[in-house]
Amino acid sequence: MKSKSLVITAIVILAWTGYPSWLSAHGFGERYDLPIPLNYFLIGAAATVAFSFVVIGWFVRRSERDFDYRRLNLWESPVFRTIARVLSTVMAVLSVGLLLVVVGAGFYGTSDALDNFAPTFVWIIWWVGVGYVVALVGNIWAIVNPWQIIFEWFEILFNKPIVPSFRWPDWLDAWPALVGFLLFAWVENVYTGGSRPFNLAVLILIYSTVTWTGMILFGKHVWLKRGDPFAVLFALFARFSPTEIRVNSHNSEEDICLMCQSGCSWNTDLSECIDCYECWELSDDSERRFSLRPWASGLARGERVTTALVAFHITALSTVTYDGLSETPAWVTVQSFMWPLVDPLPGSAVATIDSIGTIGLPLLFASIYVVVCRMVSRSSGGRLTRYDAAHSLVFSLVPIALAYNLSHYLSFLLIAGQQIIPLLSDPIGSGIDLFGTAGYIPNIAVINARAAWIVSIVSLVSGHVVSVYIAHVISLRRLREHTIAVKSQYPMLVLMVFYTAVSLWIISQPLIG
Amino acid sequence: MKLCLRQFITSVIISGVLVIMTMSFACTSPSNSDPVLDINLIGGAVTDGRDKVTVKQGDDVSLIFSSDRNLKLHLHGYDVEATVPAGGEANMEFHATATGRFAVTSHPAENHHGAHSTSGHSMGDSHIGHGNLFESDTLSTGGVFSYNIPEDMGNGEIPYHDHMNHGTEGSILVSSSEGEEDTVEVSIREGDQPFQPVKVMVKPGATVRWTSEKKDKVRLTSGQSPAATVDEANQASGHGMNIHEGHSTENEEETIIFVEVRP
Repeated sequence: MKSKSLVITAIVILAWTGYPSWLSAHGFGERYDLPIPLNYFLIGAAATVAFSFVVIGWFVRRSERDFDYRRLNLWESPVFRTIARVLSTVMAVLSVGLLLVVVGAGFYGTSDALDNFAPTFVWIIWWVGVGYVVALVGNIWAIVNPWQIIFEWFEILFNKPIVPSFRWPDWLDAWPALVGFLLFAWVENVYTGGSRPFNLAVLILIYSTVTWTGMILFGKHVWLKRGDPFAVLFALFARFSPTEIRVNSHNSEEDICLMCQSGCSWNTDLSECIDCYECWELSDDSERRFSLRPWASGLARGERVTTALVAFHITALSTVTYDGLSETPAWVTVQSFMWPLVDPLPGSAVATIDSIGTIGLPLLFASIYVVVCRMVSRSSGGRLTRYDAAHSLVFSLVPIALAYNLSHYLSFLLIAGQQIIPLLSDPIGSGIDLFGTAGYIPNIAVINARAAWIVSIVSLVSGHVVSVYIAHVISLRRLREHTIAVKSQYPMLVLMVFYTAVSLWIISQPLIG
Repeated sequence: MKLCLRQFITSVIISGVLVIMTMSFACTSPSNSDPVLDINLIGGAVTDGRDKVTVKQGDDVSLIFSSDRNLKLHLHGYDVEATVPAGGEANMEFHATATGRFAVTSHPAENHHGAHSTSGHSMGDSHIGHGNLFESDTLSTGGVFSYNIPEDMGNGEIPYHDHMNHGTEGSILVSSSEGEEDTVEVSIREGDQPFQPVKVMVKPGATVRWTSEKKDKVRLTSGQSPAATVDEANQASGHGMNIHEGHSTENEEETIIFVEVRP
């Protein structure tokens, strides 16, 4: 993996040579959020505990074991298929265009981060906005990922598929995606130069090189499922979403999953082929199902994933939390405590402490998670092995993390996100006015603090309820024995109450940053 | 589980909904008086150590800043600016339509930055200390320099000096009640006290016009002459938070206080 070490070197060089900007870390942009008041915090916490017992009580009384969810297949309709095809082509072209604008604005536009299209688009519209859409609507990243689209265009241009020259080694699993994600998290949360348009464009070029190299060497789908941090992350978020794709080829002469290179054969737990984009590509319309489903049901399938994916998911969840945690006064206290210890080290002490946080919090999360999974295994009387618990229950924590993410970014996306309106008309800060919106002044009253508080509390409490519910469904699917499944979930419930309480506490803190 | 579970669930849900509704509608009573808040700054820091002031949504807020030095203040989000002259005060007024937590920052010397160009008006220079409000070209005999007092400047004193001849000081008193409205003439003559008159009193928006009658070259610069500003510089470096040592020099603006507009 020479390219990886090159990336690391390049980013480290960028980090220490690019002098820090006046903007703070944590992505980019100014936030005006009011922390939630104490009474909201207390009501949220009380509701969290109360609803936990409600969900458990409901499970105690419930005896059926079939938790399959209802689906509405839209792919049957030729009209829907046409609309979907036209729409995804338009979005694909737009997406590639936007990538070019971002890179162009980064290299040739003003170096002023607020007057340049690139930082606002990357950090607010793409990173926050796409995350929302993927979780709440469906995995649009699988449709608009410009690197994938450009790769496919090249295949069309040369009129033949690019055949991978290497088989992905099994031991490599999804660890490259985790490494890529940690680098990204570091750029987002620690690296102060990440909001500089030029640096951003350089980082995008590095990422593009790595992505296309990976796709060419190992195959597009293999790379997207194992090596690309964003495809893996958005696929995780999309499990919460109310849309899914399935391929049903069991009745036809050849089972498509057997031809799939990117992971279907590794997944022995699932009897059906859900959300595999390679199989979707290989199949024809009669085998395809594009369905609406209840929110969060994609998290409750109960399959085990590989260790690297568990590590990736835990890291993703803790990074979501770290983003808010590192802006609290409590983190400043941690920084001043650690200051004397890291100050002798080279480089900025704040950056060193925040780097430790970026790596340390996932490790802390992971160790707590492993301990809780042991307790789950013990309270199931060993019926659910530690391995099975740790490799299947990770999805149950996703709703809390998504709810927190929604609360944390709601006002920010709605207020700071408006910057994209003037920037669309004047992307490089040259004074032109392409669409007549260059003079638009963001409306800071677009969301009232009370509305934001209520959305935060309601989404966190309901996220918690959904998490508890999903953990139960997963354990029931794995254990098939009702009383043990319920009993095994008490340690998980404690963890979830704690996780929700921490999330509530963070949004009750004033943001420093 | 003899207690009927359905009733329990229903009561929890209903009470939750009720509590949230109460929270949303109970506290919207309008405040009777519009707040006028005094904020004293010494060395660019709030004297009583407050880190925030709280007002209610819908208020007509007046923040009255007084400072021992020239400061250009900026309320983020609302994008309201006020210029506080040394020893004087400035009124920052805004109608609190949007809720949130908004920083008031002071913009220190030198850097032109377009960071707030989206707000529709450029910040220009900021005004702590030497040369921040105005600096003339080098004037020879008969040379003229004019300075227009910003409309948003509060009451106070703007000291200035001849940069070519340290120790010569004059001052402009800004007063919205008294003082000239139009143009005030100041002549620069030979001698220990070149500025005639040495003090002028003007209203915000007025113009001060200097005409040099000196043989030597003159360069008019706002602020006290360099000898007097050393103390201030020391004072300014003393109050930075240690923890953000690395940041405070990078950040071109410093947060003075937060204004919380609560629903």
